[in-house]
Amino acid sequence: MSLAISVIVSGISFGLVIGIVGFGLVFLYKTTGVANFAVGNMAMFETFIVYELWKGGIGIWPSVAIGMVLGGVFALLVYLGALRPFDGRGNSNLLVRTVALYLLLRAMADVFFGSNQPYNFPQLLPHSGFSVGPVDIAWADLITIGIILAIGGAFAAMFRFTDIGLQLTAVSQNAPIARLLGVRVRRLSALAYVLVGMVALVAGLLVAPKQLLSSNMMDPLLLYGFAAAVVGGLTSLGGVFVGGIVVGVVTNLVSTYVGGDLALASAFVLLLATLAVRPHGLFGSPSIQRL
Amino acid sequence: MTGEALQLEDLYVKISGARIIEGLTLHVGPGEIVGLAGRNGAGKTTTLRAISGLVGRTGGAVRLGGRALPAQPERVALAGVSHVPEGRGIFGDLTVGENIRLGRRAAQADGSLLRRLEARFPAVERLRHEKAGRLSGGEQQMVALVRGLVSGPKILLVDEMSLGLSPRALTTAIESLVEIGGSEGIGVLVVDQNSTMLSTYCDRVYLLRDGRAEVWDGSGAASSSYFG
Repeated sequence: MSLAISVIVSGISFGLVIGIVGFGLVFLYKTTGVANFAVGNMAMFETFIVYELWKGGIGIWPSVAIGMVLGGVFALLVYLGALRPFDGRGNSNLLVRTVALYLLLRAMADVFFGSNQPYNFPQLLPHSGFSVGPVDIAWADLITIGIILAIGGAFAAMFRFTDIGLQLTAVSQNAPIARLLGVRVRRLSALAYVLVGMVALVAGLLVAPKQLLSSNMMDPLLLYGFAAAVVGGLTSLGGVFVGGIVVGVVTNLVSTYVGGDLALASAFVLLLATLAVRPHGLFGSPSIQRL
Repeated sequence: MTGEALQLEDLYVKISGARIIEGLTLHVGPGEIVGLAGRNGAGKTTTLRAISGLVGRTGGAVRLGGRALPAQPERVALAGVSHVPEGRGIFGDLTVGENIRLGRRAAQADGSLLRRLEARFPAVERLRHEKAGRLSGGEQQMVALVRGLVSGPKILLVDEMSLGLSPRALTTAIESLVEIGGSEGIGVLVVDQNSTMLSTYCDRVYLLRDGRAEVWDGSGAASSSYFG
């Protein structure tokens, strides 16, 4: 039983990392109309940039700080270079561009950074833990949970209290009407990419030290993130974190008690079951289209 | 407030290859209320959408105060043309107050205009904290009108506001528009199937037929046969 509780706690922590990748997908889907398949690889590429800075000898935390700024700039360039041109060609055009971007970023990472991958990434969070009775809990898990709740809270506050948040909400609910009110949708899309670029780096930095840094390290996270988004209800920014926790806990339990090979499969069972039984997820609303 | 006129000259619009508007010319002066009548599918909504850039124009000119209006909705809005769309376009999950805050983006109008609008539409002020989706159709139309007016536009476009409104709510809405448009110097272009309302309240009514607009005197036999 105590093992199960430890597994659940680390599942929650992993689930929130999944949640933040899913959040990137849902946030871009809501604000730009297209979920970006390249979100995971943007995180990967940005994490490589931090790694290169660190290898250059400037210390890991300064590298992380500079990486945050560069991550935002990088995401802005992705938007301006790949998605902004001819953005009136429809959402399926743009969606395919994000798939191409996913492949391109992978290839670029292999060429520029990947000659001897995978790499050991420096540990950012403490290794130690503590015990509550028979249950072992890792500080790293608690800190991860804290960081992601803080990010989620910051976004919630932005939506709740700022004018930009109000405009983002309006665009996500009905972009043509928002434009009629003078909301500059493209600027908001650019801003959304900058924010997602920074959040994605957080995900990459939480993943890289646990696994190894390689150009395919975010692939499972992207798939889990999709499952989390579907379970949470594709359009719900809070729901995606709950979906992430569900996916994280279930996959953690499955890999502990059944076998690691089945972890990914269990996520897809969750995804399929959600789509079959409750297509709008836990928190999404059944889609209503009108203008 | 210095008003500016909206001028459509020889406007052409195609949608998926079909010619909807073919050589439409009309104008709306400051403080005027102008009606655009026409049967279902005549292109009334398309005309408004072409003005605000929601659909592309294939020919002709749209000018505000003599300057060409860009064909992008946000830039049209920021230039001072406010569009209250068919179906009202209310954000149902946001409160009435938030809907109106969005409307204020287009211009840094001072708060006095909002207070005058709230005096004219007391229900909107009273319902400020309600979710807009929970209001009645009439109340939502009021919110949409206040949201369209609160930026202090030069021109207000109103699409089919009679849909789903009780006769009483419609009378309140159109009388408010006439009064506010006149006192604030805002030119109003109202598109509606309710030609009786238009001929009663508008300074001038155009009839949209075969993609063109002709001034309609409201009494002709041609028009009664046209509307059947």
